[in-house]
Formats: sequence, C-alpha cells, structure tokens
Amino acid sequence: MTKLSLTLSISLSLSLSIGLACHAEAATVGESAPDFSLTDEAGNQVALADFIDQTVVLEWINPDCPYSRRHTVEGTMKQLAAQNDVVWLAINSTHYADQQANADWVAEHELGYRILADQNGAVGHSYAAKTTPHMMVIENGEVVYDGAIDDDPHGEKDQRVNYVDGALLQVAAGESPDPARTKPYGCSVKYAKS
Amino acid sequence: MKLRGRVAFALAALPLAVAAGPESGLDNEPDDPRPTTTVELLTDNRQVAPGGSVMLGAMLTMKPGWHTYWRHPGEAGLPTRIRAESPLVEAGDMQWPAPMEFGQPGGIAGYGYAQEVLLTLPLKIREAVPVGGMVKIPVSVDWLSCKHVCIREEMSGSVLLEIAAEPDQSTHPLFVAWAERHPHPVDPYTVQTQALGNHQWQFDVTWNKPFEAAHAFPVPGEDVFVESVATTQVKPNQSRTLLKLDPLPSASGDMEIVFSADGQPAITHTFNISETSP
Repeated sequence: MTKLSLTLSISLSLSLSIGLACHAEAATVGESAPDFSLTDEAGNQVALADFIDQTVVLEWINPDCPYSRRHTVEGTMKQLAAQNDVVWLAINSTHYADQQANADWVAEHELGYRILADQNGAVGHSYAAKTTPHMMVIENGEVVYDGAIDDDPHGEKDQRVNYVDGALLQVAAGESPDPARTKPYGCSVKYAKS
Repeated sequence: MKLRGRVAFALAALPLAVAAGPESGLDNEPDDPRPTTTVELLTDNRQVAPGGSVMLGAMLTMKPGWHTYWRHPGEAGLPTRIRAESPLVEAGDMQWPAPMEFGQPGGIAGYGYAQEVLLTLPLKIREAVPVGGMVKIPVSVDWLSCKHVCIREEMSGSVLLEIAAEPDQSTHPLFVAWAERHPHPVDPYTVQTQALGNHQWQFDVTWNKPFEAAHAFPVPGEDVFVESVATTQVKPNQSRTLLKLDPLPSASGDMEIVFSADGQPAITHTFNISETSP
C-alpha cells in the first residue's frame, strides 16, 4: 500500500481549486474574428485581413500531437482544403515550434496549405484554442463554427461526421452552420507558460 | 503484499506515436520505444461463477510528470479506455476514482491522474460458461499520456479466470483500496444546490471533517460547455463551488458533478441544468 499512500498524500497537498479558462475576451461563434498577422513557414507575413472577402478555416495544429499527426497522415484537412473554395490556415501555437519546424512539416507531408507560427500563443488565446486540432470557420469576418474537425476522436469509425465539411457546405449555401459549436478533441495546445 | 487475485499481467505498452519537444531532456525522445505509462491487468477475484461478476482492473503507472485523463478530461485530452474482447463476458461501464486537476499552460483545464491509478471495468460472465475450466479474457487498454507533449499509447494482454460453482469470496486488496476513492452519492443535505440564473449554480458541500483542499469536477454532456468552475472554503468543513455553464439550446436534463476534499470520500452529485433561479 506504500505507493497508494504516496499518491494520496500528494493529493492532500493540492490547494483549493479556482478557475477554468475564461472565455470572456476570446472569440466565440457569432462574434468578430480577431485579426492577426503571423509568419508562415516560408517567412511571409499572413494577416486575416488579407482574406476579408473569403471563407477562412483556421486549424490549430501541432505535429507532435498524435491527433494532429493522424489527420495530417490521413489527409483529412488537406482534402477538405483542396475541395473547398476557402483559405485554409493552420496555426501552430506550440511554444517550441518555430518557422523551420512548420516548414519541415509542410514539406514532409506536401500539406498544400500554410502553417503560421504563433509561438507566444497570442493568437491562440484570442480564439480560445484549446486542442490540436481545434477548428474555426470564419465568414464575413465572423466566427461561424468553433470546435472539432469530426465526431471520431480515436479515428475508428467507418462513417465519420466531418463538422467542418458540413459547416463549409452550409456557408456556401448562405446558411449558418449547424452545429455551430462542438467540443474539440485532442492534445491541449502546448502554449508557452505564462 | 500477497496478490492472490493477480491472475495475469502485461507490462509492455506500445506508443502509437512518440514525439518529444526540445524540453524533453531525460523524457521520451522522438521514436523512443519506452512507454510513459505501464499497465498491469488484474482482477478482483481469480474465481467467478457462471452468471457472476468480476472486476477487471488496469493499474496505470505513469512516469514522473506525466498524466492520463479522467472520463471527462476537461478542455483537452481523452479518457483512458479498457476493453474486454471476449464473447464470454459482458462489460459494464468503467469506474473511475475521483481525479485531480492539472495546471496546463494557457489555463486549459485538465482532469485525470498522475503517478498511478487503478481503473476498473465490471465483467459479467455468461451463464453458459461451464464450471471447472479456465477462461482467458483478452483485454486492450489505450490512453493519452501528456506532459510537455502528448503520446497516445496502448497495450494488449489478458486475464485468466477460473470458473467455479462456489467462487472464493475474497477481494484483491488493491481494488478495496482504490474503491475508497470512487465518488459516491450522498444524502441531499450534504450538497446544497442553488440555481443562480444565467446558467450559474452554487454548490455548498458539507464535509465530514475540516479540510485544506477541495475540488469540483463537472461532467458536462456533449451539448454543455463549462465556462468556469471555482471552489472556495467557506467554513472549516464546508466548500462552495460556483459553476457557470454555456449550454447549447438543445441541452437539458441532469448533469453530474464530482466533489473531492483531502482525505475524505469523494461525492458524486447530479443536478438539473434546466433549473432557473427562484
């Protein structure tokens, strides 16, 4: 019972629990998408404002996260980006992932879309990005979808519901996405410690 | 300790994807075959009668600094899964000790376990299984283990059970010890629930004795988002939790919340999220 006792004694030392992430200042569905300007894997500055008349998909990515990796390997995002008339921007808010790391990932997997470096996490926080992957769809400067890429966290279902695919179809038809919010799954975004 | 109920075990866990960032130091490096977490399979009894039940356990032992997740992992992460893959048994719902809260960069809430945890899965043996033999139940366990990076790992093993007309009634002591950490329902006076309106609730929990640390772990459904949860001490033996939810219009019905305080049995409590302030 020694190990169990050790576990219990450590849990006793925890302090009172206060808080969970506050979303008050972060973008939510129905609100304006915060502008940003970040550097892509090739060193170009990319701003959300550059795409004011286009549908924009934001994908929080981390090549070290098995869920991001799986979707890259399976081509989930690459296929969606190619099939739809949208601007697809991956954002890497991992604190240790620099421009070169993003360039390596784009090249290794012939990604076909850009990865923007957000090492200080400012853009991730402004959108309350929680997981990798975490998806946002922006239409007319407004967040219209926020959540998971699909309903299959473990990648085991024969038939998956791809929420982003559905949202883009609805946006293209002039409709509001339904669902507009789902729970994103995956690793926590590896933000820099504050 | 004599582990009479330990009938089979497997130590090897296979990383499905292994990666580590520059901070990793002595931790798992890219393509490092060493698992962050090892798993031992146990049963609470080595014998079971046809139609009877036995508890399958997966003891997860995590490297220092690594953690695995509770059934509701918080804002990121995924729960550990135990699966018994045999037509001879019918599995129930996994049972989880009360979790701890992780401090994840970015204020991302995470609930789960560090060091070690015994997760359990009740198995009902089918009536048709004949007495007198041994049955082998294949088991798979998969989990997400996180520290500075996250690694998805899995293991496969099996447990052996002796099918007996009158099985031994003893219970593996580890199961007894960890069951004490499972949340249990309490009488309605122990948790005073108040709907404050605007999707906010206040829970005053009266504990058996004074405490120094208390926590609350909401378990929202798919259509409910937790906006904030905060627990404070209002009396030496009373904690107060303020919970603010952000439900989708489709959300209704009961929601569970688990409370824990140091050295005392954890509590599970349900409340109706459709309630409004008086």
